[in-house]
Amino acid sequence: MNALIMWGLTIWVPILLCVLNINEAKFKKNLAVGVTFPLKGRADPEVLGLLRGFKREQIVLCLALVALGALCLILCWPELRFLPYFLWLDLVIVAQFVSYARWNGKLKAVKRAKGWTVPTVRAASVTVPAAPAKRPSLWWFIAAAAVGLVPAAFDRALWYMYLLDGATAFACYFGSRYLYRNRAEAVDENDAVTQALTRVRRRAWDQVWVLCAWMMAVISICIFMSTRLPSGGGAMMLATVVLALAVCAVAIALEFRVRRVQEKLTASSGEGFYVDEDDKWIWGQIYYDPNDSRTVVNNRTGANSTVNLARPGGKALLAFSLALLFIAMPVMGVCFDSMGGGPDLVIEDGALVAASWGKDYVLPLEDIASAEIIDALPKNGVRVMGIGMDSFLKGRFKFDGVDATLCLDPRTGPWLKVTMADGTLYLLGGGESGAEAVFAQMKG
Amino acid sequence: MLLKLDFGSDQPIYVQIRNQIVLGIAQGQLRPGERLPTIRALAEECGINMMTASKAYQLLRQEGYITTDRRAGTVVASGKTAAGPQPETVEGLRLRLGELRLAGLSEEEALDLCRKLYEEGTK
Repeated sequence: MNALIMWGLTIWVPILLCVLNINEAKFKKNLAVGVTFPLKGRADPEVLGLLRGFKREQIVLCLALVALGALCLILCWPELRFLPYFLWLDLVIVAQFVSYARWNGKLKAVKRAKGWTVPTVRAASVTVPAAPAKRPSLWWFIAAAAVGLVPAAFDRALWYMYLLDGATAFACYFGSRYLYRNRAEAVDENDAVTQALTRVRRRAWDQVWVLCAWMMAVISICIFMSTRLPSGGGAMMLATVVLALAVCAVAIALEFRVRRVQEKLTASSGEGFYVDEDDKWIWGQIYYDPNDSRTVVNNRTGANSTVNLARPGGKALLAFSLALLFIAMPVMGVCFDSMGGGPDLVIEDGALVAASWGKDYVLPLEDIASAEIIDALPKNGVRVMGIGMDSFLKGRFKFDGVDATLCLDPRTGPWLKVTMADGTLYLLGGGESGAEAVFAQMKG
Repeated sequence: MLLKLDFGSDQPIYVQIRNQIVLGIAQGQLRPGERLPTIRALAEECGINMMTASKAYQLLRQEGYITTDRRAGTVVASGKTAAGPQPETVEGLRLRLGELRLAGLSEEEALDLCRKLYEEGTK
């Protein structure tokens, strides 16, 4: 089941990257696959042939990667449910990056050979930044944060979750302001086009951040509802996932809308003076300009942002992203795969300790009202908050409306059912946890 | 109007900005009363330090090409600059005319060229 979920969550990545890359082969802002061409270059047979080759390679690569992903699912080893997917995800990113860089190099070589390289200057509009830009009000974000915080007043147990959601909703304001470089989208000397391109990009960027802020607010409400409805927790969790997917879909749709507008507005650009910053983009994908004082810069096409690798902040951000992708993700895979088999149950310093990763739960013996060994877990369990793997359940769950905290291997019993003096119910053990031995110790 | 900044040039960036804005005003790309970006916005746009942008505006203000108003912000000054041509401009023109003479242009040819370039700014 876990492998299937991982497959469902990751299989769309190569497809999306493929579609984005194929879109890169369409001329927009005089660019195709990260290379700037003059207007006459767009009709050049050699350039068009290379672009067709690039598109073909993207499709073949995507099919191969999807097949490899499916193979991970088919072969889903009992002990390796996560690691293959994380490694596969890394492979997807590297393969598509390398392919893009390769074709970018080929197109640059043609550009050089045809003499279409122009002296690099930084083009900066004087007229467009002078016009006041309409940005979304701070109140949109404050309202989203407030809505996200409302459940905290009714459910104190999960206050930190609501606070996190509210704070993230508010942080979206700073994302919209500071992860965007307020720069005119100059392609040539046509001010009207520059103005339109700038407005469209900025609008899409702001819309995504406002959407994210409200998504966090609604997720907070969903979490609250999932703790309140007796059997609707699963549905609410599903609603949260659907909502997150819907926001992703809207963000992707906005990205493609911006690209379409860029393509349309610059269809006849590339004659006379046109902006060419190819030598500042390594492999057409990594921005490196020591003369640019800004760390966050806009991507050349679409509405996204990237970093300037020549700035210390840019280097740090890239190093962090690489570490996340190529170190943290595989390590996470190994950790997830090593989970399972139930926690270790021990009596230590007058307390019952359930330990899987560190001491998960420490229950003082004097606070335990009753304990019993059970051979079957209650039915109709719904996860409220925590980990729900095939071989490991941990966190808050509901069984027919009854709250319980779990730390157990659900595959094999017996399990230890502990009721605290305040009525809190714990289900612990399973697998090789030694639940029976601990129970005997508690009775003795 | 687009500024084209060459970071490989020996000419300082603030001088490049100043020169291109002056040329923009002369050629009618920037009209009297037209608003210019704030120092912060210009620095963000060009990817330069705020001090560099400030220096360019300071120079333009001193020479009377732009004015700064608390309400209107920085705008292109209306009409001719009160101070007339700067001594450096006259010296520069003298040098360029000398270069044209050394390049073999007659007085008539040099004046024709000057007239042509001057008219570019009055179209």
